[in-house]
Amino acid sequence: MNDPKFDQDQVKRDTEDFVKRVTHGLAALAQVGDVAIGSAAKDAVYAEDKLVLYRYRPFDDVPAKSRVRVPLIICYALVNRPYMMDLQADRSLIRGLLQRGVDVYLIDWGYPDGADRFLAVDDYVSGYLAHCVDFVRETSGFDRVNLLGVCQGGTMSLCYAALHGAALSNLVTMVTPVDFRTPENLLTKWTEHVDLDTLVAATGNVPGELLNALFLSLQPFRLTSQKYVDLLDHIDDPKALENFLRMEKWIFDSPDQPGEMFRQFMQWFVKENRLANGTLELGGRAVNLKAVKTPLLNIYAQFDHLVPPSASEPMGKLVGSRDYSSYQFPSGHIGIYVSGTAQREVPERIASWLRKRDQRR
Amino acid sequence: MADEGMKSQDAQWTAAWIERQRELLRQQTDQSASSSDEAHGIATRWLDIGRTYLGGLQDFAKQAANGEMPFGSFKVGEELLDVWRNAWTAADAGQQSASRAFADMLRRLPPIGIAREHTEAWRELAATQAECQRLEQELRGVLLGVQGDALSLLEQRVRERQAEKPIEGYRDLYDLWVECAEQVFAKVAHSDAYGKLQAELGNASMRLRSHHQRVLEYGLRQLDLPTRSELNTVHQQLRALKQQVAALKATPASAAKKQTRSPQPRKRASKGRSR
Repeated sequence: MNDPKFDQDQVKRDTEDFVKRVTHGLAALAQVGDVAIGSAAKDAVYAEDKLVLYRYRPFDDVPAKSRVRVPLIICYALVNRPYMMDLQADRSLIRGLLQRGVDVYLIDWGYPDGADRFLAVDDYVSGYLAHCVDFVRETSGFDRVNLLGVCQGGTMSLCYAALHGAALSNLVTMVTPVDFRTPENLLTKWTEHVDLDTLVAATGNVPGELLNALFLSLQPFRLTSQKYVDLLDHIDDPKALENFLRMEKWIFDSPDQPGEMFRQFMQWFVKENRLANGTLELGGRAVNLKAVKTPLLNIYAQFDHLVPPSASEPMGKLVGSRDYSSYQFPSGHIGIYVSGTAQREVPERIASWLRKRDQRR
Repeated sequence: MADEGMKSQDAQWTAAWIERQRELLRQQTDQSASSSDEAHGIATRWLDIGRTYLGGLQDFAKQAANGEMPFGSFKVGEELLDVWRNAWTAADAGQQSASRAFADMLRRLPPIGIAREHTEAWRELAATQAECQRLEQELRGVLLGVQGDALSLLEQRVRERQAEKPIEGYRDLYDLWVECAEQVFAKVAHSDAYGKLQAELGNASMRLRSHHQRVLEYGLRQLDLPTRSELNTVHQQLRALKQQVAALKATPASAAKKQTRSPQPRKRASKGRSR
């Protein structure tokens, strides 16, 4: 490849096309305005500190025999906002569940501030989450409810199931890490030498921007450059542009992480792998995954670079449930909620699994 | 033959693109080096100030030794002299070691006098800042290395594709570059050395932030303004109180018992010495 020379015509064509697309793109972006988030109607039914528990209005057109009677509470992660579960009408796990007769509740943790910096993992598991479960049990009349934990929310749900399993009918986990020390887990590797005490002492609550930067740096060329260049391919399609901007909002709408909660989670779960090792204690009680006896459906994403399958797959061997099934979906960490195939397959898989167990009651 | 001509042309412009990226990288490396020069310049200026200070201390020590000072055997100057001398020698050894020695020197310099606490806080801040700069530079070097290696891999891939699927345009080349860069980066990112370096930089940044907070809080206290530390204390107390209330609510019987017992000490307090 010596004596390189530019093909002038090629350069001209590429440059003209690029400039044209950027110009169109800017004009299209200027016309988009604010993007709407969420599609299904919901009501706030319980609130505590910054937490709000929503109940989604059931769809009337679902036949009674298709309904899942036991309510389902979705416990989302503290990282990012839970509206990913109902981003827009055609990208909504919640809408998919409602269409299949599931009675859906969603926990919105809110945006923690300085007053929340000393909240610990147990405040979430045996405090907020437990209060939500108790509220739904009381108001619905069911002794046990279904719980669906997402990502870190799934890890918290596993802890809840180990400590308060009697309140649960079924447990579903999605892209949930349980073994944090697998070779593919880059985030764990990067955490290895981080002084968490100093980090939390210096930042208080850990800024969402800091975590965003960390997530972007996992695939820096793709996530900070190529993604935006690719946008030019769809810049003439208003719907695609709106979808892109909605997703962009979700990605960067990152609440700060309560300092002590973050410190404990990263130290105990990620660095020391206590949940998988069986050495975790919360509020003075041992969290033994073998105590998780409820039927469990574990859904994880095949190409997930944040929670690789190897972090989620060991769940089956670690829990005590005799009714355990897993489902590997061919997508990444986010695609499992928003891809077209996911809309068809994931809610159906969850609803039918719950319905089957609902009918056994 | 015409196809081969086209392929050859493709190879030429892709090669030119790669070479241009290499040139940009070289420029970045030069910039990085010049920022290192700048850091060295700052360190040198500090050391100049130190030299003046050192001269003053030497005079001071001389005077003390001659019995011209009221403190007679005042020795603090000797350690300072050593620190400055060592730092000066190290600074001359090269720009990298200069900032390291400078940071080290600042760390070891014993603060004295009425402004001791301020000096110590600022000294630690400056030392941590120097450490951050050094680590940032090291990380930048690694990332520039990734980009350089990515270009080499890209060159190799372009060659491999010549026969079957030649690069068709800039976009094609760009996508391939991203693929190569991610591949090279993933290998580096998974190494223990990279994880350690990144964590060290993060840890140093957090220490720097803590030092800033310390200096800032000192100023706020002087103005009788609330600080984060005070708020932390309040929030910790609030959390403890909430837990106590929750525990009391959970055991109404024990709460009731406690309530029946509580008037007694209150009674005693009211009969106390306050009136």
